[in-house]
Amino acid sequence: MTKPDDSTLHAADLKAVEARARLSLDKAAAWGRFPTPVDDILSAAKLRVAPKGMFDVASYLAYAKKKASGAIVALKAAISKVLGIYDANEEIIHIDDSVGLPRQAFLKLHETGHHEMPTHRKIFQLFQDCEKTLEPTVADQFEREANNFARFALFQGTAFKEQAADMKMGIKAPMELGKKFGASTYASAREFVRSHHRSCLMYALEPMEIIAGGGARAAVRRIEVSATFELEFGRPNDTLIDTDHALSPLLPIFKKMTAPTLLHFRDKNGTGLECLGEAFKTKYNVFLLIYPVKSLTSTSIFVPASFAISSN
Amino acid sequence: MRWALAAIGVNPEETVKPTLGQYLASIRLDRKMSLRQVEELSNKEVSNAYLSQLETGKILQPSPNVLNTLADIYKINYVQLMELAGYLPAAKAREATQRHGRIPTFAEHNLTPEEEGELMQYLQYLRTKKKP
Repeated sequence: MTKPDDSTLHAADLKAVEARARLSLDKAAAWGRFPTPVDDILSAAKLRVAPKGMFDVASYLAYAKKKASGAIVALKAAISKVLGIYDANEEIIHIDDSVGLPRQAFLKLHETGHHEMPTHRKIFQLFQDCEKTLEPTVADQFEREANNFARFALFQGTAFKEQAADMKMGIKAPMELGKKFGASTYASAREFVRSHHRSCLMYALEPMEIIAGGGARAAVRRIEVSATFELEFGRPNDTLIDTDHALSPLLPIFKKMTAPTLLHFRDKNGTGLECLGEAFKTKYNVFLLIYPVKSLTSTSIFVPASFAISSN
Repeated sequence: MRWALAAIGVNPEETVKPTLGQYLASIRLDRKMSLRQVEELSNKEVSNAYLSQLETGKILQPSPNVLNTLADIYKINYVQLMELAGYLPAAKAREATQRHGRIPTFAEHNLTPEEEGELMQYLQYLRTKKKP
């Protein structure tokens, strides 16, 4: 299922978050250090990662012995849904260490965002001792703020964007930058497209499913577009890439990657454009990156209209 | 002005609570600040037009960031402003499909009120366990 928006903020709120993230990078003297020194950022924020936290099986089992079975079912369900927690009363975070290190870096910075944003910390310190909660739209906003804090800190403001601008457009660029900054391929591919000055589009797909007849399909997890792409083509809203979809030739069925493949399609004004599409798959996702390369001549052949770029 | 302050903090018996807008207006008057002065002190984060609408109840759901900035300027309690804005309802009022908000988590799926409550108890247990 396509994931809901996890990052859009009003400009003033984004400014407030980025100002806090900038301070955190300053405190840790983290600018220009690669991979981004996440543990230094945590230390400078006086925040610790619980050594035997809530994801520690022995702690869980010891606790489970004392609890009724119904409560344990609910707790087990809760832990399975959660990847990170910020304990505002102890100034400590719990991170699921079964996930990959690059993803842990993002999780740590997300929880650091809750700690470094005074608007969050003061509220979360309150809830342990009272039966109140955050109004759901504000809880959503806080999560999006923590995501933007993590994004700004991990990619060191505009450093990622500036380095991406100097690299050859293609799927290898976010992969290389992800390694350099210590980010997951997923976070890096998203940042690459969202911040790129050129027109480009990225699909993050769920792992592919091979179907009868030898084809494949994959549900869309998230779509990112650059600002230029959105202006020219709009924002696609596909939920599935299957054999009928014009982008299906990009699915890396045999190999880990699909080499740059020519695609033709029209922008909002009906102008034909030649694009390249590439793909890369990890254990968790398939990434498709598409970017226009030049205008077409009148003799070019277009990919059928099933390519679901918005035409309005 | 006095009644507003009393209703908020000093006299819990007071039944008529001011609205967020009334409270902010009363505090600003008490601090003898103009709308423009607040705008300047907030580095233009809170414009005079915005604050005016907030005080007159034309804006009912300001961002927590705006409330925190105003709390800093007026030297008042941010949590109290969040309360007046209606952002801190009773936990039992939340429906299972609404975003959980008592503990900050990075979660792929929303927690039900029961799951959230159990998780909070477990966190409390982990805190006491590590203490000598």
